[in-house]
Amino acid sequence: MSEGQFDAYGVDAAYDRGEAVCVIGAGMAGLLAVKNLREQGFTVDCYERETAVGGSWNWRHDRSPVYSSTHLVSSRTHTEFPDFPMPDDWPDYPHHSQILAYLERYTDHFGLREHIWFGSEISRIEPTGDGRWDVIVKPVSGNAARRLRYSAVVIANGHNWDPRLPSYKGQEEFRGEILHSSAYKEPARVRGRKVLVVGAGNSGCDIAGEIAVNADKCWHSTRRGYWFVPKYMFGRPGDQTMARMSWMPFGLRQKVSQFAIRRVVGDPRRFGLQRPEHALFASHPIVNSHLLHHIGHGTITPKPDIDHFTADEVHFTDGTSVKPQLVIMATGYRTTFGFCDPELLGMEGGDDGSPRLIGHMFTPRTPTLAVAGLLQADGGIFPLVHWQTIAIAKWLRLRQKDPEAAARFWANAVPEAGRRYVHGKLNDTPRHRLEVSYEVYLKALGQMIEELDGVK
Amino acid sequence: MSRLDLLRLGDRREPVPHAAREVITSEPDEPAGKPALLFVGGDRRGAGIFAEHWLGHAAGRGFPAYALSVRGQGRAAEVKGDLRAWASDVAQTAASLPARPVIIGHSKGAQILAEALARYPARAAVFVAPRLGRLVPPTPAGAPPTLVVGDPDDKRAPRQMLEKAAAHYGVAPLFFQGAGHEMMLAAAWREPLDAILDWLDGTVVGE
Ligand SMILES: Cc1cc2nc3c(=O)[nH]c(=O)nc-3n(C[C@H](O)[C@H](O)[C@H](O)COP(=O)(O)OP(=O)(O)OC[C@H]3O[C@@H](n4cnc5c(N)ncnc54)[C@H](O)[C@@H]3O)c2cc1C
Repeated sequence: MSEGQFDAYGVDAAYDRGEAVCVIGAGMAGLLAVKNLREQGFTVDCYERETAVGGSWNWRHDRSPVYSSTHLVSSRTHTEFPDFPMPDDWPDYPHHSQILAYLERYTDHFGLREHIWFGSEISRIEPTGDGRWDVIVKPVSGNAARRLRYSAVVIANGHNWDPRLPSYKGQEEFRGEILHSSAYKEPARVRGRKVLVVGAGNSGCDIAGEIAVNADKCWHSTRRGYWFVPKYMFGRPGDQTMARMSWMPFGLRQKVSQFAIRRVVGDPRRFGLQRPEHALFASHPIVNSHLLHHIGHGTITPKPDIDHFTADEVHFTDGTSVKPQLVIMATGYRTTFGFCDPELLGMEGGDDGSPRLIGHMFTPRTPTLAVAGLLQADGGIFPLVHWQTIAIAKWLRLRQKDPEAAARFWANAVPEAGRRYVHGKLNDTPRHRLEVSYEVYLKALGQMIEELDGVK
Repeated sequence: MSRLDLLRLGDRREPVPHAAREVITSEPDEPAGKPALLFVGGDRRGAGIFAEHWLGHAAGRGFPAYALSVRGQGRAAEVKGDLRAWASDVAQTAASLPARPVIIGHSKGAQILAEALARYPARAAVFVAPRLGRLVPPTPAGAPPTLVVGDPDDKRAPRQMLEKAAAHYGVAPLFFQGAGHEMMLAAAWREPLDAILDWLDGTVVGE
């Protein structure tokens, strides 16, 4: 396919790509989609707004959330793709530059690059009414949009790039600098400054640790109590240790782990932190070994939730206040699909509503639109997204090969929309709606794949 | 029915640790755009048996050719392993190559190949005089084109075993009467290898 081929098509007439499938994004999820769709025999056109692969893990990208000391939080063998291992002489928790190298190797090893159009942004997708899709592609530089028609669309646009910024009372009056964590890259930015980090997600805690050793002063404000799972437990990466307990019923595993963490890490209240108000695994634990270490060394001062800002101060709910020069909001990201009507994904209540999907992948509204990678888990998500894209590819294949079997599969699948794949009860705040329990969800994916294979 | 194991609890509990591996390489003089071949043997001699004739001949026909000694074999003999570790050695080596290789397993090396195929989507899989053991081989990743080659009179991988292996992968075995079990070392080493390479030329080259 050559660039010139599309020149003749304006935005009005769609260039028909026949049975080809369109993939949006060439991050981890998009690359998996391209490779696994091709493995099922599909022609694939993948569009990527950046000029390179890697998405979040490519620190050169404006929207990349990685900072200089980002390492995996899930261990290497719990994160690698199930059919393309990371080199076994890499460390347990590789650096972000190694993850980018891994994704680049995957791209070249499977010859994916020739199916990716770089510097091309999908600005709109529209159903044509007969199950197919019109896709409007805009070059990032220039404005000659093209309209192309595809048999299906797989959305892999990521959910770690649209900053979620809270607004506290008096925040506009604050004369110091406020930055979302996504804009924080280098410790040089904080040297010699007094910094407040807000938010206790994995990024918040990681960044606080990096800032603690570089800034003049580091406060860390968290809203509630959290479980801190150390990166190593009993001499192994924590996720391996957890897997070794997976023969236990969930409730027992929860109790044993809670006991072990209390014993090894200690009571968070001793460190001036709040006591976790929920049981371990009721919301995904934070994997972090150095936060408590820094608090113990006095290089991080823990603070509760922010109450309000003044011109030069931040006041907390416990009545204390500090005078930071820089506030870093590690307050997460919003899930945004700017290129399609939210209703197509079963979303209501504006941008921040989470899609109601079948198995975190398919929208009950239409069988030819799928989403890959829209989840968080208590473990590495790379393997989950691999099996997601296998399921998506097999589903689209089944629709072509055996419409009757496909209709039966779909009739059974639609009532599953919005189902949660979690152990017991997980917090049901919007922030947690993307969360799955690794093992529960993987089992469901396995069943779906077997069903798709079986009804062949 | 094949095994499709998504959870891989064994690996999640106890990942295979890194160990030294030996790779013997024979590259074509001119790149011919053909896929790499990765040979895996089944006993302590490891990569050596392929270096004798097969690697050079394959390279001569334009295939970059690699032979692997998994842990416990050849120059990698010091570290002991088991089937899971050997399969991991194969997947690690395959993934380290610039592009997806065809993997060729001989004798007990075919069993290692069968296990490795669940962890790596080979360009194609060739089972030579396969001794697959009693376990049902797992479902290969990516459904690679598969070939089963052997000597029906080979006592170590007899006709019945070849037919069973071929049936498992849904193909018909290719017989070379008199080639023996160690066909890469036999006087007539060229014939079965040429048949394999012809099949590859017709199946995966230029695809
Ligand atoms: C700091 C941090 C640490 C993490 N650590 C781990 C970990 O240890 N283990 C783990 O499993 N996960 C981890 N994650 C989760 C991580 O987000 C995922 O692992 C993964 O990188 C997400 O990949 P993705 O392909 O879904 O999205 P992204 O990597 O965001 O890729 C999406 C791509 O789509 C492109 N795109 C978006 N919209 C359009 C459009 N309209 N048109 C064209 N292109 C578009 C973007 O440019 C981007 O390249 C971490 C995340 C963060 C932020």
